[in-house]
Amino acid sequence: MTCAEAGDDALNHRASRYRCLHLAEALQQAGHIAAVAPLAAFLTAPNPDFEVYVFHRPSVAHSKLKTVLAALHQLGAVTIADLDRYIFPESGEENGSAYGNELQALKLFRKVTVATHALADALRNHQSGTDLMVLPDSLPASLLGLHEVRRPHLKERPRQSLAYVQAPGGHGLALRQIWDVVYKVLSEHEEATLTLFGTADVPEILTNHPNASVQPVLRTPYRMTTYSRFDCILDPALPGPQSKCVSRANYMEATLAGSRLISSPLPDLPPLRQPNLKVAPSPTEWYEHLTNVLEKPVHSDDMLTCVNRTIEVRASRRFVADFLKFLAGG
Amino acid sequence: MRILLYIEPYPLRNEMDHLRDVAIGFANMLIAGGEDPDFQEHDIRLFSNHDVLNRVQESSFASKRFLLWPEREEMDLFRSGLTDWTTGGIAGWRDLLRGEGDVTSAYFSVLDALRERFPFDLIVHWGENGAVRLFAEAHGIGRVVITPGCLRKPLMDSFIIDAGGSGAGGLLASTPIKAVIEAAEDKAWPPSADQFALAGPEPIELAETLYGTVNFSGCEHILNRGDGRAAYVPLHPHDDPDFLAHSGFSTPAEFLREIVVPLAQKRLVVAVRPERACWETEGGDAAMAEARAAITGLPERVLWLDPRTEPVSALQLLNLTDGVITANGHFAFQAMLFERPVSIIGDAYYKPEGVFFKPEDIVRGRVHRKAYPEAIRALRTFILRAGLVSREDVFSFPVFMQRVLSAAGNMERHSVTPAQVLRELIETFGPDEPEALLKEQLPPPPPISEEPVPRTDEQPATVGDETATAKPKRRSLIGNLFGRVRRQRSGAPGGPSSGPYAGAVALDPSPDEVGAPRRFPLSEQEIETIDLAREVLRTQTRRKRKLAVILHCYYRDTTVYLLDQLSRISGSYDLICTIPDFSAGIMESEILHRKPAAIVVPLPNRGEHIWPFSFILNELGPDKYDTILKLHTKKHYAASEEHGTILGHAWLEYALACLLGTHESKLHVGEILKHRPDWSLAGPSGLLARPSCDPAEAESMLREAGLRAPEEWTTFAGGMFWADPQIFAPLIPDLSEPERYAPPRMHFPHEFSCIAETLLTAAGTTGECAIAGLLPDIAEPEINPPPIPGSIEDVLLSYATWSDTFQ
Repeated sequence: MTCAEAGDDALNHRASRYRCLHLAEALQQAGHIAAVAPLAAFLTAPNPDFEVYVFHRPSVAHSKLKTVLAALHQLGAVTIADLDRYIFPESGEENGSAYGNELQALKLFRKVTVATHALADALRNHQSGTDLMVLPDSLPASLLGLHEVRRPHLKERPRQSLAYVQAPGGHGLALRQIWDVVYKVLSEHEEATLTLFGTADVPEILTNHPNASVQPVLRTPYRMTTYSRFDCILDPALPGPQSKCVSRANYMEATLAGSRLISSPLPDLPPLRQPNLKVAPSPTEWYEHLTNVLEKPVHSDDMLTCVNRTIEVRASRRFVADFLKFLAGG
Repeated sequence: MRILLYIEPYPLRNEMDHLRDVAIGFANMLIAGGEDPDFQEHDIRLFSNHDVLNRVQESSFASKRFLLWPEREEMDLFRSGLTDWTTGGIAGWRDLLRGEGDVTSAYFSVLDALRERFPFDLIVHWGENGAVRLFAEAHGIGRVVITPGCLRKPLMDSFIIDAGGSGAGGLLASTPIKAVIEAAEDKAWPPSADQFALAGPEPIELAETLYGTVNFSGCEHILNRGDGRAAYVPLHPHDDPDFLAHSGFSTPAEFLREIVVPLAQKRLVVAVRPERACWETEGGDAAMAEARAAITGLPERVLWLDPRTEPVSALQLLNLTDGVITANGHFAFQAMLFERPVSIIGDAYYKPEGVFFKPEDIVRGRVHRKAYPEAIRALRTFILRAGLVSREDVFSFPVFMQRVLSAAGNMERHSVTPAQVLRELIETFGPDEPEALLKEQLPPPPPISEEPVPRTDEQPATVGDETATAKPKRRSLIGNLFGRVRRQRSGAPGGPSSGPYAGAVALDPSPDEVGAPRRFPLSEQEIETIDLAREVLRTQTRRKRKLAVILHCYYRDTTVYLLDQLSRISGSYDLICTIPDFSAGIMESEILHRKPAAIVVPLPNRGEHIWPFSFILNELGPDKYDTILKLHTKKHYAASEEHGTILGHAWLEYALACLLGTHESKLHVGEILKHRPDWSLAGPSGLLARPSCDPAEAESMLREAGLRAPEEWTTFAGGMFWADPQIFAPLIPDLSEPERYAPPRMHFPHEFSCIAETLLTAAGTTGECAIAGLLPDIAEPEINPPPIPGSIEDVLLSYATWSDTFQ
């Protein structure tokens, strides 16, 4: 059983889907029984009949967490914490950390799955003696099945169409760092358009650019459909450990949608050069890549290669065997 | 060609006119079909018992020319079947379905006599019928059967039109699987694409159901089965015609005793979950008690999961077990949508030889046959693209004729291969570009603004807010399949030209008139949705109830909450839930899960809660109910920076406390309304405010409807109230026109729904009427109260504080 975050629409969160539902589907297809419950609901009426329990983003803010874990341990169940974001404080800030409750909860688990290698390193630095597995964000058969029929990567889209997509409740501080570069590129390319899905912290001057338009923040957990309307997605990130631990989910969705992605450097991005991915560590590179993207279309064969490679590398079924081995170990 | 439409005259479930709606549907189809050029080529008559035909004639006198009436002695025969349903009625019907016994001989004779009176060349009959089958075989005439299909609501109300019926004689069941695979060729989709196309919601919503919380009684026996196996056994109603005709069993208990109990004794854990409908037909309680008794000896091996009390869905059981074992229920087809192992004991429309598993295979875990996924993908492909027919299409003359003639022709073709027949059907009735159809269903991206949206201090509204932006339109794959078949439509839907309000004064201003309201034409899809909604209302609002609760369900979570709160209403009522069409699948199942008797009406997402309400009133007319209660799920009303959404909840609580009282007091304002002719509209007193729209436009519309403008314009903010529907009669023809309401979009300043909402309240103050302001838990209302002096926020804050302090 995997437990999602608490909240009525918990399973609708992007993270819950990547971390819980995708895993449940892959396990089920491999012949196991898997169920997913919102954490609050599970803690209220825990089902003791599973052998393994994965708690996604557990938190001691749930007063019953410790009791339930103790009971599960007594029954001999394997319990795992799942972490997909950087929650560690700067030195000496532990008590004041925004994620203090999650940090405390982590100490209740001996086994932890994390979404990226960078996150694994961060956890090792913070908490020794943990049995760790990197369980990457992956693509389940249901999503790939739909992709096979819909083929969004083949969809026609306007050339020189750029998009910036903000997460619900997120901020645009990263875009703020490169807004002038984006503004300049837009001004230099009359045909280029920029669509901003969400404008929190985005400078007004950029949103008011004649080639820019503003749309509501997307609440859909998967962004492929939206991405497939754009040639290139901008995915800037703030410097710092938080961003370093982010997974490549955005890249996977952009690729399946047949879009290019310009991103700040993220360790989880594919290590080898990908025709649809440009990594921009500084404003200078952002300018170069943006200009390049607007002036040179990607070859459709190259795009298809990226799509196939992403599916091959990140299909959920690939990670089931390692996950089961992780459960059995120690 | 002379075609006989034979609507079963045998009394079903102790009713002589059980199939009246079907007959009326066909009569209307024939009347409308007069405009079709092909119509003149055929002579089509409708035959059934007197009671059914009387209902048809009452419904439309124009149907008279199509009706074939039974003779007196034939009626005597039909009426002789009117015995106790559970002891004699079912048995007679079962014999008739199977073509056995004296009853079959007697009905055979009726058909003989009928053919003397009307020498038909083809007989089209509704539901399986062994007498008709034997008659057609004996006389060498064609027959076509229309039966319910293997997809049911909320996924799809589907039907099969097949010359061989819904059992082993059907086209698909009698075709070798190799031919089905050959016909499907490269057209087959992975299961998630088929699920997506059918279920409407994003596949992940389906996943939430599949992988949902496991906490039902006895789940430990399934979860801790170790190396053993578990099977899910769905039960369908004891008088389901497919079960009676083709399963080989007479009762669900017999099926359990003969098949399931022996399997459980071989260490199979079995989860038996009857459908909810099992208790809804006469004799259902006794049949289910008997079925349950059949398995009581094995409490740890066979779980009885009553869907009314156990929190487990059928889809969830698919995931928790190793396979499905069924007599021949339609759920087996749904299991195929998820590529789960299925064992079907009896015959079924979707069961060709050699595809499915034997129960022993599931017991022994031999369910990983490589050819199985390929075979069921091919079956699914044929069934979804060409095999199933939507209810709308069954009663559409061109589609009906094309389907019937095609089905009749299939049996006569001997020169082509079975694969060619199936492929031709897919090509004729399937969509030209199924992938494009699927793309249409995907949540479309928000519209790109022509110009940058003016920036505000706040974030733009997020996608998903009711008032914010266009919502995705989702359509059933099957609903789309027949775009290639001609359809005729007469008149614009939604206008005052239709519905019981048709005679009322129309308020349509001339388009040239200065300031005439803007109109927003309906899309083809919206027209279809409205047509379907009419059909739902026509067929499901036949009970005589005095009170209707009309609930517009937009938000899922608030819908669930509101449905639970309805228990505060004492007495019986019709619950009519309008839902936006894009959420049809998931919302409908959510509602029916909690309120199985609810009438769920998907409608285009226009006019927020106002247009759906006006549409329902227009369709039902002012006399259908004495009293109505209008509710909806709007939330976050009066959200503020300071108080957040707490006021949204307080607003809902306050409105419900005023309208419904508490669970204890069960204040029934509807009853009070009936005995107080001096007032006819009652809403929450503290929400009576000045309207936010310009009353000038509302005033001109009111005048044109012949109503006096109120001295002071007010509106019940939030639009929830009790009312006597008569007061709205002059306004409804106008307010129910969907074209007046803009489709949802991000910015549209002159929303007609605001004017309409103001008009609905104003209607309560015209003529002799007055409005009443209700206070929480207080039965005595204020008559014609003034609008509140301060803000609604103040009212809600003080209520929230009062509520926290005193309750």
